[in-house]
Amino acid sequence: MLIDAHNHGLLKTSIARIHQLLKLEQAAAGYAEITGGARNFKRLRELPHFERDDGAWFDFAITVAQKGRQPLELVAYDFEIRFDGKNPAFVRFDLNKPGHQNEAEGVRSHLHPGADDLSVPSPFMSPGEILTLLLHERFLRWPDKVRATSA
Amino acid sequence: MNVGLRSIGTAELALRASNRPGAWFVLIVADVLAVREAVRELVTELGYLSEQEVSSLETQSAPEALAAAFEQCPPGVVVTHGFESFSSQTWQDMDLLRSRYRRDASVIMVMTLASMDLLMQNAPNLASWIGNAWQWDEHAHELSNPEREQRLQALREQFGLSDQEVIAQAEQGQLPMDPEYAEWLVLLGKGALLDHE
Amino acid sequence: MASRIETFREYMRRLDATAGPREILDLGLYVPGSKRTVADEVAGRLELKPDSTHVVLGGVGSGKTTELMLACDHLNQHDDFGAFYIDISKHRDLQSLTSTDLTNIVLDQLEQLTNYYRWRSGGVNPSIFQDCRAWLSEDPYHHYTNNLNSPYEFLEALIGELKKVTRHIIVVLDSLDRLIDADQFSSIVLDELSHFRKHGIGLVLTAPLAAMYGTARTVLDRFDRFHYHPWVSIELGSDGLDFLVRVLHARVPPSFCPEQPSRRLAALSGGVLRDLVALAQSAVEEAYLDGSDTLTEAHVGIAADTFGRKHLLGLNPEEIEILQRIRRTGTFVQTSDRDMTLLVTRRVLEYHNGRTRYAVHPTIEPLLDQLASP
Repeated sequence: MLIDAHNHGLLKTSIARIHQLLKLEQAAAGYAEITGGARNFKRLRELPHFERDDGAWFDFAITVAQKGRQPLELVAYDFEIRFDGKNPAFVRFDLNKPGHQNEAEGVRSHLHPGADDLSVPSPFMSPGEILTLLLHERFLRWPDKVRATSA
Repeated sequence: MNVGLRSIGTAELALRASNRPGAWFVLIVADVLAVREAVRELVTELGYLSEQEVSSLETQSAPEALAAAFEQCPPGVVVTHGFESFSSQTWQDMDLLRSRYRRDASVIMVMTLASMDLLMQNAPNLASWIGNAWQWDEHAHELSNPEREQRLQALREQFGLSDQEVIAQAEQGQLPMDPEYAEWLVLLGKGALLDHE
Repeated sequence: MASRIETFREYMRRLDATAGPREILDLGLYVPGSKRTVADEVAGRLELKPDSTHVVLGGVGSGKTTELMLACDHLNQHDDFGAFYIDISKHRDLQSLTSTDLTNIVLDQLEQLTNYYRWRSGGVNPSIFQDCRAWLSEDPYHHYTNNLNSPYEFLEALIGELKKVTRHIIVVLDSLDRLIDADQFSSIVLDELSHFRKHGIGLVLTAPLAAMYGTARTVLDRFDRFHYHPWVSIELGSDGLDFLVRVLHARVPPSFCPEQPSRRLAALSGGVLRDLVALAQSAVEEAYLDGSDTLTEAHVGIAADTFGRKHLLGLNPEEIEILQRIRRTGTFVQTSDRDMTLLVTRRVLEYHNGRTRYAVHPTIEPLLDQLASP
């Protein structure tokens, strides 16, 4: 998906760099972490990340579990895309770890529209669906001419 | 004798092979056991990338039979192995049959360095087809130690907790729900504590 | 507009080093040299003397097969010539090839390639071809109408029929250069040579490079002409580099592969056409992975390094020392099979541009330098 996006001009990050950024960490008990770019809480552009054709940049981390012959289970993820000089400056899609309270309140899946302390419930999406959104030609893109109310 | 080959991971080699028509690649692995592992990973990875069927062929020390198998393979990348049983003569025989191995899609030969040395010594026509040879880096896709430490340090600074505190909270079932904590435990090799949640 | 990957895949397809020469010719990718080529020489001499015999030698990847096919195409433009190209290795395991096998393969191909139904108007007797087919396939049920009992009798009869519609028959046999040594080549070919001569068939074939050196060279004297297809000379002052850049630009546009990286690729190929194409394909791949829309010298450098490291594999310390000596002095004397192997495997390249010169393959030169450094 990332390579396709590059080949269609939507992702500036080269294919060689895509291979360098995509990593896997396997742990005991069937858990694994798939990372794309560095862990970047401070939102420093100099840390490794993916970059879109319009300058927006993102990274992500996905936790999965495979128990025996069961299908791969999605445990948690966070995808954050950043828009320098824009407001909101970032959008982050979180899938919390499974847990009774989390799911009872319907907030396991949520997004942060430009603030770590502000979250909005969002539909449950697979990592592939979120990447499709991040790499989409129309959605999550600032238009060339921004309306005055968005400034 | 060699000055060392460049290393390559499975995903990158699969990508190169799926985009290069007619190319012959050699992947050097440490030993015979690694051959099977590398072949398995390559076939899986190529399956995701390639529009055509991927074939895996073991030589059985018989160049003539291998040539026949090549001719019967469906269009698509071929991953071939089993060269460790080849003698100098077998390589010479394979060299003479070179025309019969020609394909439109690429071919990956997985073998040990010793086998590659014999190929280079005895099969000059086949060797002229081999564009690239790499050493297999079976860990290319994994987080390096510095990368893992970068992530852990960022987590510690962000949440103001030590690794031991996070483990203790997880053991008590009191770890926050945020996705970053799941990653934290996996990076510490404590993924099993996620089962406590 | 083609996507990036479609564009790069097209470049890759045009830079397929394993592509058959017929495909290259049909795609219009062949670039003639500025001097008379082997194809010109062979075709020209056969036009003058259609029953002459020719042997072609050249290194692996020098483009010999392309020249042979071109010679065939050239001759077949004449109404009174029938030139047949045959790749022996596609019909028989070369390791166990005998002289009788050679004649049987020629028979088989002449029978298959001749459209004798179309030539029936010329008075050709199709039953000879039918008997030949049945004899070659050992058909126990065929009713033979001609009393022919050996490959040589069939050869004589087939040629006799073919000459009713085309005056001159030329047989081009390829792949015999892959035989390990000149003795094996001699034992297979020389007996059959007399049969072909007897029937006035023009013959062109490739021979092992080893036939050029030492006592093996006497086998070449049994042919009317010997043609050597050398590596392209890339010495300063020669037009070899320009030619190689033209070969490259016939396959990828200069807008993608500008002059500097093109000349660098040409130099690194050592004048070996197949290596030029392979290096170029590898460099294009680096450009693709790097996200670049043009080829740069950096991409060429990575391709050359990867190629060179592979090219050094399989060498023992003595061979490395020979290469170091060539690198330092430019001198090389073939005194052993090991020396011949270095030539055949293109670690050592021999150039003929007024004088004979030797050099190590350019891609291994920096690596040899690295090995020599303390």
